[in-house]
Amino acid sequence: MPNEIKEILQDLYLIDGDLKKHEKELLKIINELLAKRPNAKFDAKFASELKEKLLLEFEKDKSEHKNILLTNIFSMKKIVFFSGAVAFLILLALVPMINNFYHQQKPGNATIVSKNSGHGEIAKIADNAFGSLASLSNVSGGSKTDSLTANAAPKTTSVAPSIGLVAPGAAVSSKMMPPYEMINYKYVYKGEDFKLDSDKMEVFKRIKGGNNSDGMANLLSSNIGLGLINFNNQNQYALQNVSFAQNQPYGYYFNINMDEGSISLYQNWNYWPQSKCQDQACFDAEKLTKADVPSDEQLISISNDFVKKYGITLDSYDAPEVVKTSNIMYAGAMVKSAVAIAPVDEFIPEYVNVIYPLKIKDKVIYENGAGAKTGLSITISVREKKVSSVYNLNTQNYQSSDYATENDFSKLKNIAEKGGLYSWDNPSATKTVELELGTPSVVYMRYWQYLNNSSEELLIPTLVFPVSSTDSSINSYQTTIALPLVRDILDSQTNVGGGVITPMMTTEKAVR
Amino acid sequence: MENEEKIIAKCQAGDKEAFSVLYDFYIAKIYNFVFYKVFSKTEAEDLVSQVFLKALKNINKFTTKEGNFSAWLYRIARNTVIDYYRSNHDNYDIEDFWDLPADDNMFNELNVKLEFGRVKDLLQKFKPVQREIIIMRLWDELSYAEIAKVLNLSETNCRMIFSRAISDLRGDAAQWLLLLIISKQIICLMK
Repeated sequence: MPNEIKEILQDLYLIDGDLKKHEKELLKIINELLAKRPNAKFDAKFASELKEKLLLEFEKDKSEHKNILLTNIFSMKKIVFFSGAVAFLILLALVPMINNFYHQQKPGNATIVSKNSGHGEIAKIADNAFGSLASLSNVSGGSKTDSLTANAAPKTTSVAPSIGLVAPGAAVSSKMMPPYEMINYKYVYKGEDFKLDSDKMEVFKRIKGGNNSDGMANLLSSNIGLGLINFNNQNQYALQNVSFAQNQPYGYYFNINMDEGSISLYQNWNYWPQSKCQDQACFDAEKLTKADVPSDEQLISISNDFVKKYGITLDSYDAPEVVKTSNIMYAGAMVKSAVAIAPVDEFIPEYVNVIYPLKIKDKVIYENGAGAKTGLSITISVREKKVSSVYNLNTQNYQSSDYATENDFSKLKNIAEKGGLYSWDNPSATKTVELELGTPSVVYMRYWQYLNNSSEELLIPTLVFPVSSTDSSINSYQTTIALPLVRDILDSQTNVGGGVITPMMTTEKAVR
Repeated sequence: MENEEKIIAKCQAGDKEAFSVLYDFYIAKIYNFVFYKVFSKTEAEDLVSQVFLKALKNINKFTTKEGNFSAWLYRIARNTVIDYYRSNHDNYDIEDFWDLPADDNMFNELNVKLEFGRVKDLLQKFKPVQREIIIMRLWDELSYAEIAKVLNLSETNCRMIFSRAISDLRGDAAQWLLLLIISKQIICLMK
């Protein structure tokens, strides 16, 4: 027996000497856990390339006094070491760049420029200007596998039954996890008549940050060099990323990503209270309870106050909502999916998210994949009752291009009744359950397209059918079926066939 | 690692070779540690690059008062992963990434997704802190002292949490075996 395993066993016996009698079982469990260690696919080539880069960086740092990094400023805490004048000059130079970041990106061949509901602009360009979108669904979301997960309503799912498969008279462990029951779903449209008027609809592409090479060159030559290094003005520098820290109680790190056109901020851990607990009893005493979780109204008020304090403009966003897909819901779902068999400890999350859903032309945008509304995300620390991070504060400039869309509702209804684009029937299913499709609505869904090593953010018109069930014994099914209306995508994906179905533990709604 | 303190001191004095020695010793370990949390080769490589760059930029701040170098490096890795999940899964609370729903976007390869699903099933039954300690102890092969420093817990506590988790599993041996059978059946179905 390897020493490592011996040592593990010794620790167990120290806690409970009786366990020695069960050494065989324990060995089996430990060996199984060891065997389940995933193959991490470590790549020696990557390791050697990274080493080369790091050693170069190491050399550079030695000669640059390590005080500033231009392409990747990980810790601008050091800004406090700079003279006030330099910091001021840097900020002076950054302001016009950040301003450009919001306004400069206008498409060269734009024919119409209209105002988005927010402070951004939408530039209308020629039809089909973003090229074929047929392959979009296969690369969207950074995944090489099917990405239309919000659309993919598997006709088959598996659900933990409420009664374990146990021999008559046998004792049932309160924690026993039963095998999953395979279910096929039959979708029946029960909605009202629906009409899609147009055979062409707008697809939007977000214009991200810009090339700030001119401003950057000036900034470098005049200020950041600090007289220690000569940044040649002839070189094309572009500011990619700026981070700085707020060194005060409950301060934040701010990160401005010029390439992506986004700003995020998160806790400056050094200035937020940290637990001093060293043992389980202390952790248990500090554990949050339901009473600690602010009401939705309080959460939204905390969030709104923060938005106001930092002057974040909300013109492009809908009214804020508390995101219910947090761990508190997750724990609830686990309890529900294994009724009376695997009760799950209540878990109160440390953080809760408030989202300000993003809108374009007054239509709310949903995230492909997760299927939830997307927008400005503000995380609130339940413990501190303060905003702990802000993400997805992005520039809102778009190009728009018309694409042919499917307007034959009966065709779309048929696809939805088959369970969407990726459905399939599992021959091993033991049960078929009927689900109802309600009247659909047209929304925009955000997709990611990877081209030439960069990602483009596209908003695709999508028809979303709500799914419901009158059968209260069914607690796990897809709650929406979403079909992209752009013909390119729809035609290339229809009848693609089934995917691999894995047990679904979640009952979270795909589109709220 | 023998003479680690001396190597770090050399590194802090600007010795490139010393940094190279540290890198060679830790790269695979940190890569595995990150991979077990993101289950994507591309993401793991990206995050590991960030971890080592952060370590390089901050190595002068490291002192043995903060524990050994290994724990310091793993803490950087853990925080980098947490930040990654915070910025990439904005609609979810990332206290424990194992609690994330299985999102296709997390996986670049189908087999990785399947692997993740199976492993997740097995580990889902533990509380987050138990899970993290089990992974660090069994897969990352960290000592209890190192785990304690990474998680800011006492060594005794880590030892206790780990042992209790394994001991609880023994109580559920039947369930454990059943889970294994199910996961194997699912794999067969998929083939």
